[in-house]
Amino acid sequence: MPRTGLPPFQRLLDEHGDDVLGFLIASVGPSDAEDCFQETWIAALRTYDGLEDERNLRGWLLTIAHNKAIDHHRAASRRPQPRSELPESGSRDADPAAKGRPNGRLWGLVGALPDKQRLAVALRFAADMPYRQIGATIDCSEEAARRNVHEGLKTLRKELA
Amino acid sequence: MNAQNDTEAILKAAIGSADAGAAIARFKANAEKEGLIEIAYAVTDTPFGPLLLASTDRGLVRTSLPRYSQDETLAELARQISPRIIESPKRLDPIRRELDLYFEGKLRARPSARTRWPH
Repeated sequence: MPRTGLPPFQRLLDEHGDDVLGFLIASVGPSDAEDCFQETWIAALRTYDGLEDERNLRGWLLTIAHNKAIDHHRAASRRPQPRSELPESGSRDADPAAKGRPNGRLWGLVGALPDKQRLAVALRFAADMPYRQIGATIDCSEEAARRNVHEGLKTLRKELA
Repeated sequence: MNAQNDTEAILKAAIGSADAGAAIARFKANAEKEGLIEIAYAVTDTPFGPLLLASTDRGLVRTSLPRYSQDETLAELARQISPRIIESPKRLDPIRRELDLYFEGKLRARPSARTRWPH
């Protein structure tokens, strides 16, 4: 049976393409954002006509992007790191390819934040997401989402100062 | 306070410059290759004004003349056939070329005689 009120998929690309890319740049770094972007939209298109609820399509897309970002970090942390010294802080290495790019240092620092902080900061600043929704997306309370953004920013502030 | 605002401003500026145009073009090519686009559409110029053409992999399913709302037409197709609708002019290229020839008077038969029009 043909479905309900889902808009043509093109509209999602027009309205949310930049946000999804911005979120992915902030969460996996500019050099890997493109791959995650492709995976996100292919996964979205694949499941789109089975979608039950046409409200909050943006949240749905960002949740898919968030899952792709997590997958990406898991895969990246399994890859051997070609370096001799350990990073000083953070759960993983900063994106080495980002260094020569504009804002390379910034993405390096964001990439070195712990997962939840990095994703919370990305959702807050790339997607302007309210804390309640950030919590729902990264699976924590609204209060914890606020704290993750706060802690993430505090670290960035210190490093950038 | 200032340092905080600066950090947020730097973040926002770095993220805000994201332009998905090129990435979206690559996505469309991937989606077409994987057969995920149910309906491709394009808008083409004709002497009557812009004409919307929509096609499944079996052929043209809808045309919509300028006086009809394109949004309305696409929403209708989403309800009737599938919401997996993407603007992807490549699939419509052969039909657009025939229309161009027809309007230039270089194609004698109506395009409908040569192209698969709506069933």
